[in-house]
This record gives sequence, structure tokens and C-alpha cells, in this order.
Amino acid sequence: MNDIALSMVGISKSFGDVTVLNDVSLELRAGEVHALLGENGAGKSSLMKILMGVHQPDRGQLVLAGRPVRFSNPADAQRNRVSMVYQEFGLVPTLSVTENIFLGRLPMRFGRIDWPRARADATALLGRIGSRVSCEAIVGDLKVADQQEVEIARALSYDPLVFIMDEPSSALSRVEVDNLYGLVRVLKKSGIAIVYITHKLDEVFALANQVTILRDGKVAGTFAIRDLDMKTLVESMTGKPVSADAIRESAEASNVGNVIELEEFAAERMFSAVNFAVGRGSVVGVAGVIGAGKSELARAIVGALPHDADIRGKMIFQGAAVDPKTMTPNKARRLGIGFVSEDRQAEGIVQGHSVQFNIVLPALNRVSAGFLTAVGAARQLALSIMDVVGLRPREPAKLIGLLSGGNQQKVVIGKWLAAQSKFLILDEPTRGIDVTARQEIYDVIRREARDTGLGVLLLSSDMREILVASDRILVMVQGRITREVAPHEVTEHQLLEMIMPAGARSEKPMSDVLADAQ
Amino acid sequence: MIGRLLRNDDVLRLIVLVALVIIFGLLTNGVTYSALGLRNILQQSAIVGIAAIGQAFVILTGAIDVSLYGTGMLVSVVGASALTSRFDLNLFGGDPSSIWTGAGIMLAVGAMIGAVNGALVAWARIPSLVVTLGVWQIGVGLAQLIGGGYTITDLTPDFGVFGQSSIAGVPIPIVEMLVLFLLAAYVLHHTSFGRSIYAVGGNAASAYLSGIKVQRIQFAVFVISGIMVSLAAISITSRMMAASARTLTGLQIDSVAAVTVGGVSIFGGKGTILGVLIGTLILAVIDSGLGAIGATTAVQNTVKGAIIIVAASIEYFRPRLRLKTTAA
Repeated sequence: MNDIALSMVGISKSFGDVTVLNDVSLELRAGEVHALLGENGAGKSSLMKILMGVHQPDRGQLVLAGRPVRFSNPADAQRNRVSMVYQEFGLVPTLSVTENIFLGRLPMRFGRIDWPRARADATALLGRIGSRVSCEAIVGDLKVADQQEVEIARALSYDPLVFIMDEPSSALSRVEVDNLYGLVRVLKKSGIAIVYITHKLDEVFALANQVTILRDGKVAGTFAIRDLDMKTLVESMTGKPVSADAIRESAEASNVGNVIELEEFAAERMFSAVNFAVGRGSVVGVAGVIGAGKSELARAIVGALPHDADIRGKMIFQGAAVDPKTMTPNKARRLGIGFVSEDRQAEGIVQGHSVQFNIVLPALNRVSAGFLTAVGAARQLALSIMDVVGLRPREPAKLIGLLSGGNQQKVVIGKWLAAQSKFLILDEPTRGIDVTARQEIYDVIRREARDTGLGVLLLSSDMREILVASDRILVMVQGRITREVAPHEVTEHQLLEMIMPAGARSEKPMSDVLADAQ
Repeated sequence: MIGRLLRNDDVLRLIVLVALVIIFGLLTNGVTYSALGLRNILQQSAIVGIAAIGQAFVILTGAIDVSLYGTGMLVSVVGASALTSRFDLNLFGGDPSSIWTGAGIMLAVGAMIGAVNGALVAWARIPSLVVTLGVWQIGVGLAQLIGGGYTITDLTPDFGVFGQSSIAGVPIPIVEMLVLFLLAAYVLHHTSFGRSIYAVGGNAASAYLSGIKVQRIQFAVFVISGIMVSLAAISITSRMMAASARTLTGLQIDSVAAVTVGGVSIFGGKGTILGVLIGTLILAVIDSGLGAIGATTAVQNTVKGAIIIVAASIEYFRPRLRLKTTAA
């Protein structure tokens, strides 16, 4: 057994009446990966905020290397060699890589910043994690995976004893994830205690020595990895028994004909000509890595690409030809096409407004008389949609920002159901969403397709999701649809092989693979 | 090498500046070429340039200071009413104060107003546009109350030194502006305070997580802006040897214009102080050039407004341009 690097003992924290952490204890050992699991709202981020000094615990204690400590802010925690790779908000996009790594503590010499030394130190840190990012690059110009390397280098620059990683693989492709795992193992060997927060259960078995599961602000269990199986893990997280596989039902015979057909549909420099149709009541999955052109395809269909995009080909919607060149999101909505963007915060929900406002937004014509919106009708519509997507509690007036990510996504999907969409495009619909909400979203999609004849185009880089939810699978690689498979014909592993760009299956460095994918 | 230079935005801006000088030079038969013509342009730009330095610090943090005119006017009036020998207008008991006391009072007033702006933005978390819009009006109102609506004249005669004398033939305001630009460039690039300004404007959340005292930075830039306005007000009051409501009209527009033409992102976090200097000069050349070819103030105003919009929107077009060039 390794030494305990840090322990959190009996931590409790409340905000007003809401208890977010209740007597939580956690022991982190040097040279081990401790996976921290739990659904949204289970208290993972609150616990890490206390560890990083953002919040102070109401009760309980932090013990670092045998000494009780108290961190008054993140800078304080970092000085004491506790550092964190944030899921977002970590970097300043307008500044260079060097500056981001040493933000707030650039090396000084004779009262001024020692730029040559800063660059040399940054290059050394990047080299240590095997990154090829240039220290002079502007962070906003880098790809997501490269930005993450900068984040990791920044967190490592504090020479941490305790290293927290918050869902580090959520925005990475398969090859990049393999690189990340390699790096985590290297850090582990160097004696750092690592906290690894994740939603992905397979990561737990790939990396962790210890697993702690939080549920409703309490520890639902701490396990050594050898004492744990997938079933126990899922049941500890959700607090109820679950069936391992999702139930997939085939479309009913009444759902015949195509809701949309695309012929030689292409956008210059984004994706090449695609040909496919989505039948009424069916879910067509498009599987591909991030950057394969899936989002561009989705945005081209609803007319949400930049104005200078060069779109070609034919689109037939509900049997009538539509000119894709003149498509706009407004026109798409009126035709009955719903679009759930991959960026929920920026494009899915309207912050600062209620659940009802968000649901009714694309369906105002259904609840309006002349210029007036019928308040009662709007509330009724919102409530009925909340029932359809399984959103609890039934409080349409609640601010959407107060909902968990999974519930926000249910609102986004629900608003398109409120608009009586005939065709729904889902771009990475469950990224960063906990397993229970994920399953509920798949159930809603399957049920709506079967019962109302809704056609669904599901674009995802999560192969499990594609396999669970789709009737047919199109494989998209580097802007081209390379093949079509049925879900029962392939395993998750085979599908992963199919979506990799040519050459990526060999042991190529991450940066080259990404360059190929562009 | 040349390709790399051309990719530097400040070099492009410098080329625009030189081209404008040549064009207006040709249009006015060489009047702008003359040493006197260039000196006039510099002299005109000094007031705006000094104020634009403070404005650039504020905008780099992602905020904006539209109080400059009100602040400058109040500073000017309070200063003049300390320096005047007219008993009925003297705020401090009657005897005109020494020029250093007068200048010190003016700096203190400007710094204080900046501190009010900064505190309301940083700690009360009120949007800077709202705060400084209000303070602009308060500044104008207080200046009218104190000055009673009069133009205050009869200042201590020596006070002219700040605006009218020269060092080696170069007028003091020009020297002052250039020194302040050098100082600002040093602070922004070589001190951790300067880099923190960029970090706060680029991403305040990550600046906070890195241990930067975000609110102190947000506060400090407004104090700096207040001090810069004071320096500008001292210059102009000294040149006019009077304080009136008209002298600093449009200072906030001109300073924002200089900063955006200078390539500083209106969202903060991005831009150089050299760019702001060139932006200041570009605006001054256009102003005096249009004047020299006989354009009316109405035309000058219209052109200036259009330039702000064009300069600020270049930033939006750039990402798309880049996408095209890399894909091609």
C-alpha cells in the first residue's frame, strides 16, 4: 500500500437549505489513480471545489501529507502542490501557450518578466508530457486535444502531489484518449496521487486503482478496482438495479416512406457528396470521430453553416424538393426539422429563462393568438412535453440554468417535440451527461420514433451510443460516408476501427493523426 | 522575413498610416509633408493619445470607460478653480494655488473618479458601460455646479508650462504622450500586472483559478484611466489657459476609436499598445487631412464613426479569412 498523499475527512457542505456534501471522506494515495464517479449533482464538483479552495467546508478536514491544511483559494491549493486540469475555463484563448502555463506567476528577473526562461521552462514541461505544441502558439488557435495538453502542462507546472483531472477524455477521439491514458500512467509512476473524474465506466477499469462513487452528496461506496464489476458500479451510481443493455425495438410497419432524402449533398471543404435517406420512424446513426464532418453535415441540412459555405446537391423533405442553398434555421423549423446542437450551452438553451420559455420557443405559433401568447396554453404545452421527455420535477417556471446537464438536454429535445418536428437531428446529444439521463434520452428518442414516426439523424463519436440507439449506422471518415452497417453486424471495437482516419490505426503520434483528420 | 512582417498587424497598420499621410500630402500639395504639418498632427493627437492609453488598459480587461469626457471636464474645472485668481470662482479660498498644487489636485480628482468607476465595476459587479455612463453625467453635472456654467480663466500664468512649452523644439504634450506610450508598453509586456490585464480580459475565470486577483486588476485599470484623463485634462487646460465645457468634447469616442483602430479587441485580452499609438496617429491624420482638404466637421464626424465600425468588425471577418487560406 502506498503512502496517503491527501485525505479528506468527514467533509460536509451546504448552500442555504441544500446539502451538497454530507460527511464525505476520501483517501488519495501517492502513485495511484482514484476514480471519482457519480451522476450530475452527486457532489463531485463540489468536493473538488473544496479540495481546490474555491469553497470552504462547513465541517471536516483536509490532511495533506500528514498535516491538516486549509486552502483559501485555488492559488493557495496550487502553492501546496494540489492542482487540477479543468474541464473548461482553464485557459486564456488570446494568450500564448507559455503564458497560459505560467499564468499569474511568470518567472521574474530584475523586476521584469524573464521571457526566455518562461519559454524554456514551458518547452521543457511540454516535452515531459510528450507534447509537440509550440510554446509560442496562441492557445485559441490550437485544436482541443492540444489545448488539453497545455492544460495538463499548466497543472503539472505546480509540481503537484495531488493531481485532479475533470473528465479529461470527454472531448477527445479514440487515439487521443489512448495517448491520455499513457500519460496518466506515466504520472502515476512518478508518484503523483491522481483523482480522475469521469462518466465513462470503461475508463474506470482501464485506469483506476481505487474507485469512490458519490450519490446525493454521500459516499455510495469506495472500492479497490479488483473488488468491483460493472454491474455493482452502475447500481452504486444510480442506487437502483439496472439491466445492462438498452432495449431496442424495431420501427412499426406503419412508419413507411422517407422523411428526408439527400442526393449528392455536399459542402465544399467540409464534407463530400453524401447520399442517404432517413425513413419515418427510424433512427439513422452517423458514427465518426470529432472533426469527421458530422457537425458540418448537420448544420448544412438546417442551413446553419456560415453564409459563404458552398452547399451542393438535392434535398427532398417529406416528398417535396427543397433547395439546400436557401435553407435557413427558420425555414428548417417551419418545415419540421429540429436540430439539437453539440453545444448545448451556446446553441441549445436560452440561459436566464425558464424551462417553459425554452420549450415553447420554437412552438410559439401553437400557443399564440394573433400577437398574444396564451400563457395558459404555453404552460399546458410545457407540462405535457415535460411528461413526454420525463423531466422531474414538473416545474415549468424553474430557471433552465438550475437544471443538470441531462435535464437541460431533455428540454432541448422536448422543445423540438413541442414544435411537432418530423425530423430531428441530434449532434452529440449526450456528451457530458450521466448514464441515467443518457438512457432516458435514448428511450425518449426510440419511443417518439416508434409512436409518432419521427425520423432521427443521430451524429456521435460515442460508439456505444450509436450502437444502442440506431436502426442503421453510416460511418463517416474525413468528410466522407465510407460504409453502412447494421447495429447487430458490428461490435463497438469494430466500429471504432471503421471510424478511424486512414493511417491512424498505426502507432502515429497524436498531432500527425489530427493533421490527417483535418 | 517580409512575409512574417506583413502578417504582423501593427506593420499593416503602419503601412496604412504612411499611405494616408502620402495621400493627404498629395491632395493638399504637400502641406502635410512639412515638419509643421506633421508637428500639428502630433500635437492634435497628444490629448487623445494619452486618454487612449488609459482606455486601452480598460478595454484590454474587457470593460470600457465612457466617462472620459465627464471626468476630464470635472478635473479641468476643479483644477482651474484652484488656479484662478478670480475670487468668485476660486474653490479653495481665494489665492490662486501654485501650478504643482493645481496639477496635483487634478491628478487626485481623476484618480478618485477612476477609483469610483473601478470599485463599482470590480466589486459591485455593475457593467462598466452602465457605471461609466452614469459617472460621465455626474462629472458633467458637478463641473457645471462648481464652475457655475462659466469658462474659468485668469489661471496662474506659469500653468501654461504643461501645454505650451517645448523640449528641444518638441512640444511637451507630444513628449509626454510618447513617454507614456513607452511606459505603457513596458508595463503591459514586461510586468506581471500587465500580463494579468491580458489574462483577465482573455478569460477571467482562468485568471482567477491561476491566483490572479481579478477584481484588483479590474479596479486598477480604471484608476489608470482616470489618471490618464487627468494628464490629458492638464495638457488641454494649460494650452487654453481656461476650463470650459467644450474642450474635451468627444474624448471617449476618440479614445475608443484610437483603441479599436489600433487593433485592440473590444472583448478584451488581445491587442498591443503600439497598435493604439498607430491608431491614434491614423485618426489624427484623417482628421487633419480632411480639415486640410476642406471637409466640414459633419463630414469628419461621419468618417470617424464609419472608421470605428470598420476597424472593430475586421476582427469578425478574420477567422473566416483564415479558414479559407488554410483550406486552400
